Amino acid sequence: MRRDALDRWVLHPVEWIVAALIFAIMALTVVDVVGRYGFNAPVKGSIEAIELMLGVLIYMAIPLASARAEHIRIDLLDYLLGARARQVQRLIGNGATAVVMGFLAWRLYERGVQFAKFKDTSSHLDVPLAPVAWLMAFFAAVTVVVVLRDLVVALQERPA
Amino acid sequence: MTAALIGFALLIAISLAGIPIAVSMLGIGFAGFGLIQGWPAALFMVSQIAYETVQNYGLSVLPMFVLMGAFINHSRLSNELYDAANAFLGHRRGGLAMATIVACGGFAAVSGSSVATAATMGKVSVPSMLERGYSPGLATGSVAAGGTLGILIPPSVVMVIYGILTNTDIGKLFVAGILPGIVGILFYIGAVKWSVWRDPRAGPPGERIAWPDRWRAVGRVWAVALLFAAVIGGMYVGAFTPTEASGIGAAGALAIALSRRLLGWRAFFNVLLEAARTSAVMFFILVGGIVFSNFVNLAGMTSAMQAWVGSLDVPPVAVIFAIIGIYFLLGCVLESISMILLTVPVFFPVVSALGFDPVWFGIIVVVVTEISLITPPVGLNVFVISNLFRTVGTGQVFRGVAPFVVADLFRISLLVLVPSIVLVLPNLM
Repeated sequence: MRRDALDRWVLHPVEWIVAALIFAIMALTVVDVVGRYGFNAPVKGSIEAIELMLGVLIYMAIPLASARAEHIRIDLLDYLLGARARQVQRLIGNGATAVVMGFLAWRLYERGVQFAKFKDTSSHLDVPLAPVAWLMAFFAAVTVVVVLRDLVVALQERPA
Repeated sequence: MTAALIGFALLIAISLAGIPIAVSMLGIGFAGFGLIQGWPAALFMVSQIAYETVQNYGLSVLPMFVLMGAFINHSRLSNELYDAANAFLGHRRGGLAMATIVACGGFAAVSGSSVATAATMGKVSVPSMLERGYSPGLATGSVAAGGTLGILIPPSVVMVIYGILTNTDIGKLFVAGILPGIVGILFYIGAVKWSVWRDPRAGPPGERIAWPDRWRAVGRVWAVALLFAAVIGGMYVGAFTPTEASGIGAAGALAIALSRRLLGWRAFFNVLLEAARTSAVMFFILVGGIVFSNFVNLAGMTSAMQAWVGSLDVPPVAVIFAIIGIYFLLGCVLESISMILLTVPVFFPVVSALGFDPVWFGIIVVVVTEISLITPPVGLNVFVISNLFRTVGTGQVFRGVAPFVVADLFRISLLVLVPSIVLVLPNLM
């Protein structure tokens, strides 16, 4: 597949962060267990750190999964459909995903605005929550761009 | 009630049009909720679920077990498992197919996914069976069916989702899957026996292996045994919470892959990414499913079902069999996680009101989900296997898997009629 600016400047760097985050969640869980049993010293705030990392991890990985069209669809009819109908399906699927992801981006942004208004922070580590919600909103928005890109590609393709 | 039914019908319709199921669930769930309860409430609900579902500590077991499975897939444990099972069973008629089933059970003990179990074991066992003159139907059918054990024998991604949806102890669900998993292996072996009894040429016997060599082959699967003991055993004795066990499991699987020198930097990076993407897909479905089930609950579907079932003059077991029948039909169309997200919120209150154990019902749901993976027209495991082996047609795999589906029907009936098979282990916790 041809790599464009979106791949090079956004999705590829995101891959590194996502890989680091999932590894960090695993490592922190293990360190926490070892600390608790081995040294009677669990990592302070580890649960909260895992929750925050998990949230960011998931929203950062959604555009990556979308770029590979990995979202689960009912493909029962795919075998019956011709190339033309499958192209229409792809347009509908991407269009609807863009709308719903855009909607989620908006909702998460608003959630962040609420957090900012009350200066909400996480309970142990005092991480301000507004930027966390905004980060999630940003990657929901990136997903919109990713699926719209595929939609444009699908539009340009001439079904054989 | 009517609103919820319209919602379900719309959901199926637009999902068939090619919209990802998470997107359809979220869209319809939001619209339905808004129409009934007003838009401000619906908007608030979505922002809350979109933000909080992905930050649930209990749900961090999902990416961790997915990661564990991804490392395991790269460790080539499937060869050793198959050889060990073969050493004991290979000399029997249909023995390689039986060995495939047992090896799938072993693989399932360190993998939470049925598709991964079928794909990984299939790559090892199907070529070996075809080479020894097994019929393509039996060779592929046994691995497609054996693979379904992936979600029943712990760890299990499907059980985690059921546990989160119903507030059922995930550790207990895992432990409850062990005995039904063994029953599943035995019944599948019965299905192999039946297949070779009908057509003795389908599974020619291999040579007998001497006892010392058998034990040596078993010794080579120590890594699987150790990882299962640490993760599931640790949870069983209460040393780890499910979340801790999942992190330990992922780290242990990484250690196994590293110790076999099968994981370069590139592969390591790709495994992390693959697990992250798979988790993102699951969480997105989860967010959509929770939004949709909030709408269904609000529309009164759950209470209407409960009232209706309560008014029926039938024994509770009949209700269970009716629910299993519905799952059987739904499983023909829907993918596992979405099926569970759509049905469990509706059926679970009904079933618990009838006095059934939530852990037991969880296992029943997992077993019907297993069946859905091998029934036409969309049995996922069947497609995974026929994609791997282009020479074997999908129809051939479906015919080969038919005796295993029958075995599953016997198994689920047994688990319904004798619930203690499910409950004896978790009740000891």
